Amino acid sequence: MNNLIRFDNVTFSYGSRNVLENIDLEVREGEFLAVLGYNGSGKSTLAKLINGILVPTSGKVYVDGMDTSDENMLAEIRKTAGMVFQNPDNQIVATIVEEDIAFAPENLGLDPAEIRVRVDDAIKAVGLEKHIKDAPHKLSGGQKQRVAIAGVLAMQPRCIILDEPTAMLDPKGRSLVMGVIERLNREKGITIILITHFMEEAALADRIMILSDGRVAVNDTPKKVFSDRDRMISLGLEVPPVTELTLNLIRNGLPLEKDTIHPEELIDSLLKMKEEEA
Amino acid sequence: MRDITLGQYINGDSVIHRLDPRVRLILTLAYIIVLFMFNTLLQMVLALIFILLAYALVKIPAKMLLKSLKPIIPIILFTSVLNMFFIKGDVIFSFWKISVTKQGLYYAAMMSLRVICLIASSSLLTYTSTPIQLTSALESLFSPLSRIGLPVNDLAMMMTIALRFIPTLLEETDKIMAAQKSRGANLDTGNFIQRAKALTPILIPLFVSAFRRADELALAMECRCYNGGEGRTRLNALRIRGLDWIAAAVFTACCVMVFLAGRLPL
Ligand SMILES: Nc1ncnc2c1ncn2[C@@H]1O[C@H](COP(=O)(O)OP(=O)(O)OP(=O)(O)O)[C@@H](O)[C@H]1O
Ligand SMILES: [Mg+2]
Repeated sequence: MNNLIRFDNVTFSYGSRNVLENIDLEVREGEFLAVLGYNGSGKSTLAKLINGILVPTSGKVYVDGMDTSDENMLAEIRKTAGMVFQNPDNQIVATIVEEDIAFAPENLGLDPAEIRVRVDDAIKAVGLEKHIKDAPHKLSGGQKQRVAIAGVLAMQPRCIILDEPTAMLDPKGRSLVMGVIERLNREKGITIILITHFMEEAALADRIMILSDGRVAVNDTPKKVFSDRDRMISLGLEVPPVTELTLNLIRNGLPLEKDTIHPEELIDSLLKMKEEEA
Repeated sequence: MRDITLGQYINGDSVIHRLDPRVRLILTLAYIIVLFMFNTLLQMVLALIFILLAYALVKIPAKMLLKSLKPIIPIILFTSVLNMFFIKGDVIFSFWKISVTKQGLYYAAMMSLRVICLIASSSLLTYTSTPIQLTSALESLFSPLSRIGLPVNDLAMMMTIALRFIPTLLEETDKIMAAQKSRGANLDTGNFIQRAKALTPILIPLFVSAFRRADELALAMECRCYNGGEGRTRLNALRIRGLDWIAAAVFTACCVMVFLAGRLPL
């Protein structure tokens, strides 16, 4: 499969200090990439470089072959790579859910019938059909964040970049939003770049990239990344709760796999052990 | 508290609700202009009947209408009294140095009816239109002015965003107030200057947060391909339909009849 997004030796600085240094990155179409890193490691900066909000100080970023430093391509780039931010309150523009979702297609100058179709599809994809006529400020945080996702979906992007979309949500809102993100990736084949501080969310990705000091420190599958607990700690991060639990159980003598990263895996192995005992 | 984004809007499905908001706006303006052209009492009474019929059509309870009229009762009384006593003409009765004239009474009645109709009609507009509908109506009506450089679309967008963020900022104000009170801020006592000073620790965080929100919102809008108003289309584009033509025709017919009624010797 071809690369939808490509960073070619990208360096970026806000002033004198380089926030990102010599980043090379390739994201395949349909891939689910999680980006981790301690606070201030440059994750949000990386996200903003993808859709041309920021332009590299040196090096190039390509989205579907389009150079983000080419101003004429910006509209096309932003249509291809949509972005969802942390605070849902600050990305909803309109006073009615459906009008907010229609915002991007309206900006693209589509005709009303086509906008209608896109709005209805997008709202269905995030499961908020019942709230289409509601006022956004009356919705819960998780619902607002799903409206924000729908607002981006209405552009029919091939890639969605989410910058800590669940950071301000309660556990229920978080799992609903993650459910939507996974479904968009699996069912619609939309490329996902998820920036997060929650390791259990990163465990759902195809690949994890860890930023440290503006460089790519790790770039591997979740299983490989999370099986090296010491390295995660040294990067200022941790492993998913279920991995932590598994490691504890191993230390207590249970014959489990070190690279257990999903709760279901642990449950399965425990059940299997119990069967074998019986 | 009432939802500020809805203003005074009363949800409904009446004929007037179903009109294009531009038509509602223009008819209301036309009604107000016509009110000032009428100069006989009969015409004023007919105008009042017209607006009352409109209220009946929308099924807004009389209580609502009276409530919106309440604040202007002193003004009505004041102008009526002035008219009654100071317009010269055929004296009906007089005491001390003041005399009430027939013309005075007539004009007092005219003025009162005119003010009542004025308030009733503009309230009817806000009862049947959300602020957002009015915004898009104004945007569409003023859109020709964008050709001479007036940023009509941008102004409408600003209005929409203001309406969207008022509830959010109100909520935030409540939170900040609670936070400052829990740290011992005293907001409710003292003289005017003390209380104004006590507001500083509320306003500053509020402004800081509003600017941060504005920043993030601008970014999010840019990511969603916002590029100023040019070339934008609308999901719910305003459309003039048969009903709107009928309403305009009925209104015009009524106006003509009332103007003719003004010629009757009365
Ligand atoms: N607009 C800006 N001007 C100057 N410096 C900035 C700006 N935005 C971010 N920085 C700096 O760049 C560095 C990287 O910031 P960035 O927001 O990309 O980090 P992050 O990994 O997203 O952090 P977090 O996990 O807190 O969201 C930080 O040291 C930050 O202080
Ligand atoms: Mg960040």
